[in-house]
Amino acid sequence: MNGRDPFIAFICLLLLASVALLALWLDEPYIITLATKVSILAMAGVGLNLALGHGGLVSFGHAAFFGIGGYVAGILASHALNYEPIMQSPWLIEGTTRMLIIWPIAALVCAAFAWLIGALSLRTSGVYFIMITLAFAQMIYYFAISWPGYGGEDGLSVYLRSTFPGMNTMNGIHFFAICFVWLMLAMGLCSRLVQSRFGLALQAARQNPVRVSTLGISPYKVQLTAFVMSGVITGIAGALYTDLNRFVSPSVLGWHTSGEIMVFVILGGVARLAGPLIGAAVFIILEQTLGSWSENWQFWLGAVLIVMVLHARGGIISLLDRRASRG
Amino acid sequence: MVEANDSADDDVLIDVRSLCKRFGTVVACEDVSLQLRRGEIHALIGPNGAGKSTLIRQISGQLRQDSGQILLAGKDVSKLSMTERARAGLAQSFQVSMVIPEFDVLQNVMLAVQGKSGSTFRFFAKVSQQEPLLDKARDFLAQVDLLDRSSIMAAELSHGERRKLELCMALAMEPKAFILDEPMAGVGAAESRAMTRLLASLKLKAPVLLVEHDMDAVFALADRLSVLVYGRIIASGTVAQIRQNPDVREAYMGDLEDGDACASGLEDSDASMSDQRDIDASMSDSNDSDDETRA
Repeated sequence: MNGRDPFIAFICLLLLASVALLALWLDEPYIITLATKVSILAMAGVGLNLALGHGGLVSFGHAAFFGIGGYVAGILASHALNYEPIMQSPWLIEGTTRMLIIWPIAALVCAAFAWLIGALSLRTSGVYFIMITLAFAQMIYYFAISWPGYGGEDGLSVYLRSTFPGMNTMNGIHFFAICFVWLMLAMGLCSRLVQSRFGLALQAARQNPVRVSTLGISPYKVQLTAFVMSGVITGIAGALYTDLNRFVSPSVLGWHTSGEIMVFVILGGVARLAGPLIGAAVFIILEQTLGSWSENWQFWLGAVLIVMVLHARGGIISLLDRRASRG
Repeated sequence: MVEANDSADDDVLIDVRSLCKRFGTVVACEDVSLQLRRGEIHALIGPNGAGKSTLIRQISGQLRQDSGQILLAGKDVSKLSMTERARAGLAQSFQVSMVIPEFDVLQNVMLAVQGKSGSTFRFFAKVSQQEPLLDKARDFLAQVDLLDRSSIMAAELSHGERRKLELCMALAMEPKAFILDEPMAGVGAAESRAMTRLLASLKLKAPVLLVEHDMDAVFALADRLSVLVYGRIIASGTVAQIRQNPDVREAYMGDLEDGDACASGLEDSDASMSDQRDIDASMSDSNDSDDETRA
């Protein structure tokens, strides 16, 4: 975090909202969908940034939480839409298309997985941490592929978005509003967390865990708590992503997804409040513009990333910062 | 056992009982017993590689002993983690400076205050607006004369200042006992006097177990000394007793004579040789001054 971060984040959020509203005025539903996608992916990045940026926990397995959140939403909604209960005995458990029920369940399931994965992974650090989080995510990915119950490799279609009281979620701008508010909440939460006592301990544990433990604070507990929070935020973004696409498939659990979420954070600016939002927006803009010229647009994304890492270690946000401080 | 647990024990803050630790075939700590009593500075001296750091690490919980017991204020902490021992009242500073480099001086101390109060799991209130925490941290900074540096990044402090900051973090934990591993290491001559004064003031808060190479400082500060050689405590007592102890003189002299032998294994012979010169110099110095007083 940096003193100007809340201001930069505010401007970025304002820009994103204006793009969506402008698209509404110009009657460009596709742009609204893109703005929604940016909000959701940015939120996933905000989740990862808490662990990776502030906690120094380089998780290469956040696709697990993004995908689990997505599958929770998909499974609950598809049962409800098909009028098939999830379970009949010993209790009757039915699906639901109510977002207000889906989100807490997605959050709980993701918290449980994040706690399990975190508790084991945090016994390692550095490269081993990266590898073990990747391994857990891949396990879940292969499980999703081989489990025929919910579409297996073909994925699971949900023909209607879940509902939210007072909103028509099938209307692009309504659904954008929901995702946008979630993004704001996630960013607001992270900003508070980082500045709290907990945030102080988390950032200290990144820099010198031994010192932190000699001060009577357990770095393991602090990091595990942050990892769980991070997984929950990314998981709720995953649930929204299923609703956006009305489809969820094992590909959201794959390591590509983990990599992309990481790219948002690194491209935008590690440990910066608006970093994931800027990263996700630039990623989507590149995908749309370069993608229209060439199928191999990711080659150019790679080139951009290399230049960023070599010349602007702090991500795009640091370039903006430098310009601002110059004058 | 009955004797060990009688009322006099209230005055023993750290009680190390026959601690043993080996690394493979190297015995780093052999049947070490040591007591840190209320109100004292207890210095641990010995040539490099004698096992001082190993002993300190076992007491702080960084290393687990093979056998033996460590009691902190009468409570067995032998099986507790480093964090739990810190929470039980053990503050330490390290041989190599350990501060949080990207935090400013004030934040470093705030973290220590926060560790002491056990209030880490508070997620929403801004830490920078918590006046009681800030006031307390500033108060401790004033005690070590670092208040005017409170907004400097810890990484940008001079070496001496960083050492002071470390002591300040230890102070801020309001511990039952301090363990200081070479707090004067690398501190310049000008700063070392101020540092000595600071160390002397620490024992008013809690007793200090001090590992230090600067023999002038040790003799100026220590109430009692324990001499560790090859993982064993060969002598323990007041400064005067240790000075006159023939075993100690012999151990140090012996080391000097066959420096190669003691250089084998873990240690660096140059460093241990200069240590010997230090201790000899200060011993003869103090002997001289004794003579003077007698005259």
